[in-house]
Order: sequence, then C-alpha cells, then structure tokens
Amino acid sequence: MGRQARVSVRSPPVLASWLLAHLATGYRRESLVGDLLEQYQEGQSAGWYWRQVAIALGWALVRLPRVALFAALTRVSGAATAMRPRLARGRTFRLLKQLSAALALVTLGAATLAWAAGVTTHRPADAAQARQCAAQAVHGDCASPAHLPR
Amino acid sequence: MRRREHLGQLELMVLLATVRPAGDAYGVLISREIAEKSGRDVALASVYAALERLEQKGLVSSSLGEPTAERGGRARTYFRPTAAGLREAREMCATLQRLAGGLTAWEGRPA
Repeated sequence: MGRQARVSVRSPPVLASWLLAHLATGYRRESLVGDLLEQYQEGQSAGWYWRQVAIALGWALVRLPRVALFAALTRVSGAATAMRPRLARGRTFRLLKQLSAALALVTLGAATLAWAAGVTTHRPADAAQARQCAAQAVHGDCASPAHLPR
Repeated sequence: MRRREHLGQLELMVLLATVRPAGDAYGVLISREIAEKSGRDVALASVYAALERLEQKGLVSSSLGEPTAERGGRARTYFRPTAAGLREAREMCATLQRLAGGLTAWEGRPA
C-alpha cells in the first residue's frame, strides 16, 4: 500500500534542451519537446537528440522572418493606434498626413519612371539581333550593352 | 470549381499517417509510421512543420491530450484528418495511381 511507481528519467543533453527551450519557436513547440523527450526515454541516443534539436532550430530560423515581420507590424500598428487620438488633435497629425501623401506620390512617380525605363530599354530577342546590337554599341548607339555576347 | 490544395510529398505522407481508426496519431507515431512504411527517417520537427501547413489548409485538426511524466509533464497533441483532408488524400492517391499506369507500360516495352 502507498507504494508509488517510480519513473526513471534519463536526462537529455542539457545544452540541446536549453537551446530547444529558448530558441525554438512556434507551432506546437511544447508537444514537439514532449515527443522528443518521450523518444529519448525510449532509448534514442544523445546524438539523435542533438540532430532533432538542430532540425527544430533550423525550422525556427526559417519561420523567423515571418514571425519578426508580424511582430514588427503588430508593434507599429499598436503604436499608431495609441498615438492617433493625441496626434489627431494637433498640427503634427496634419503635417504627417501631408508628408505621407507626398511620400506616396514620390514613390509612385519613381516606380512609374523605373517601369518606363525598363520598357524602353532595348533587349535583343535572339543572337542575330544581339550581334547587330553589338555592332551598334561600338558606335555608342546601344542603350544597354551589358547583355551583349562576349 | 473547388479550389485544390497542392500537397508536397512529405505533407501527403503525414496526412496519410494521421488516418488512424483510433484517432491517436501524434508526432512520434506519425514519424514512426512514415519510417516503417517508406524507409525514410523523418525528423519530428519536419513532421510538425508539415502538420502546421496541413492544419492551416484545413486538412487536419488537432486536440490536446493529458500531460505525462515521461514527457516532462507535456501533453501530446493528437491529429486527425478533416473531411476535406480525407477527400484530398483520396484524390491525390487516385491521381498518383493513374499516373503510375504509365510506369507499368514503360517497364513492359521492348528494350
């Protein structure tokens, strides 16, 4: 009576566990850690555990830009929402509105110019045309000689 | 026309491995099933990455189990295919079987 079953627990590599706990992020992390522990208890080696942790960290690295971008956007939108009532009362808000409108116009103009430059740049479709273009480039007639055959 | 989800090879294998009558598919079982049936050792983190994509596509659903001592007090997450997941798996398998017909014809041709 009153005897408790003792569960013998093998400890996985400490550094690997620390890295997993602190650097791995995202989807079902706790379940992943639990699954790794469970398999390690069933006799997997420390090398196996390290390999699994390395792959988990690789996945965390892959998802990092997405997570960081989302966090940044949330922070920016949160800050903007918090600032809005104060800004809306003053001249600063009107000035910011005008500035952002001007910035949008300049960006649009630059994009249009870049597009127009891309459309008008001469790009020869085949080798014969490229050779002809090369001949013209000698006389300085070709707009973009970078594509010419060497 | 219904929008089809395109599944990668690992996603399809993981989706098929979640189809268990007992509904007890979790990370370890899924990775073990894939290793036994395909001979490929798949890392648990890769299985979870595929499960995340499948869940986002609405092809699997998940539920939390009870925490256990051997897992350091962490609960298992059980996965089961949704109706859309089962339909998608059936369609993918049928497509693969139709395409594999060409392979049989190729092997039977004179050298």
